[in-house]
Amino acid sequence: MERRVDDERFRELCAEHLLSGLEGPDRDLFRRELLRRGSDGQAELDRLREVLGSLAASVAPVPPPEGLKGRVMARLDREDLGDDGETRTGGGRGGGSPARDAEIGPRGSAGLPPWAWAAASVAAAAVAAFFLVRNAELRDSLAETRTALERTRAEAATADSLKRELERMRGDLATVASPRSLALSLDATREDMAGRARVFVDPQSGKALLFAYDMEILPPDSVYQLWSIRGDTPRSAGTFQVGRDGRARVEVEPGSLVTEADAIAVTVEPAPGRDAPSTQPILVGSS
Amino acid sequence: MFGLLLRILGDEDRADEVAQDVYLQVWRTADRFDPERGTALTWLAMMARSRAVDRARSDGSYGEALERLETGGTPRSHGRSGEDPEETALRSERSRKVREALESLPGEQQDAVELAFFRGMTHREIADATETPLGTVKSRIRAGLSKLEEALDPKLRA
Repeated sequence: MERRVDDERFRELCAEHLLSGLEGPDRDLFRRELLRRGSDGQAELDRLREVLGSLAASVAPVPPPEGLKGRVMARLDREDLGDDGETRTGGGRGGGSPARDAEIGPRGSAGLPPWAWAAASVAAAAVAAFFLVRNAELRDSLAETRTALERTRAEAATADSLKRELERMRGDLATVASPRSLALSLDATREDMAGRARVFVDPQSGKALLFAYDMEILPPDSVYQLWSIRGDTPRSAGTFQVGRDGRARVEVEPGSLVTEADAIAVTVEPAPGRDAPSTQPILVGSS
Repeated sequence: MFGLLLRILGDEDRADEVAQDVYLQVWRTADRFDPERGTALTWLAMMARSRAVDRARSDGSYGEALERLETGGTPRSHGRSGEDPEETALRSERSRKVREALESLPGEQQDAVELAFFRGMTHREIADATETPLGTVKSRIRAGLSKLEEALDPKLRA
């Protein structure tokens, strides 16, 4: 029967595979599990490799010795490396005339003296290594910069949001505290009902605000609807919902709450509201 | 890379030789590097670590390495003309961040990870050396690496 490998065990196998290699049944188990997990398993292995690779950076950087490049050149010279990566020894190179050397490309088996090929190879290897490392560093740096930028944007958005909230509160305060504003209290129509509201209307600007408290939270298919009543005629002044705290702040559509209204009422209506009240008012206030 | 080689081998001459091997290997196998699978730094670091561990094993120099780990000895630094101060500062900063993450691990997890990574000890060797059950060593390394991944994640993902 095939053994099941949970995520923790798989990570242990990945770590051991990367750190010291696996042998015997564990190696077979790891290979089977890696195959079974497909791209997810490979991604897990790659992530762990990155973590391990980052450990190398925990060592204080030490510049390589001065003569390392020369020694690598000497190694290349001795080993006579070809482009295919195989070590080749023996003749074919060197001894050619300068003209002949110029005609032979870098992949030829004869041509420039070995030290020249070695120098070119070292230079290319150094350039390749430099760009690989530099590219990785730039990507790391770019990622950090992006993270910082996103954080700054989020902070700016929060600041903007706070600024808008503050401006709104200032506007509300101006309406509520204005000596020309009219205030009206709306109370529950039944003693066993919670809920109350206050409406402030600035007759000059037409701005009207309703603040409701202790209201029942309605199901999504219902809304509270505000009515401006003159005589026997109710006129809709908008709908609203309350927050989890049972409160609501509603900017009433300008002009819909006329200061001459005889009464203002709130009913519960099916969403999105009605042209005329279909239920009895739960809050009402008379001027 | 040279710092890593010195840390593992503790010997400038051998670190120099292994550095040469690594540069040659980079030259030979650069076409096998797959940026989709990880960063070039990791590719280079893991290659260098593997070479250094192999060399330390073949030389039987684990005793010296252990002593160095225990005493916290720092290999001698080389001077190099033309070192870019900004680059040096960037490398030092990265080094500091990773060191902080490593040092934030519980002691036994940090020890297990360091013995496995810098000394190239197998899980079994760590279990024997520290007289700890093998399963415990495995879970310490796994847990340590998971915590490192969490701590370094924003710096790792590019």
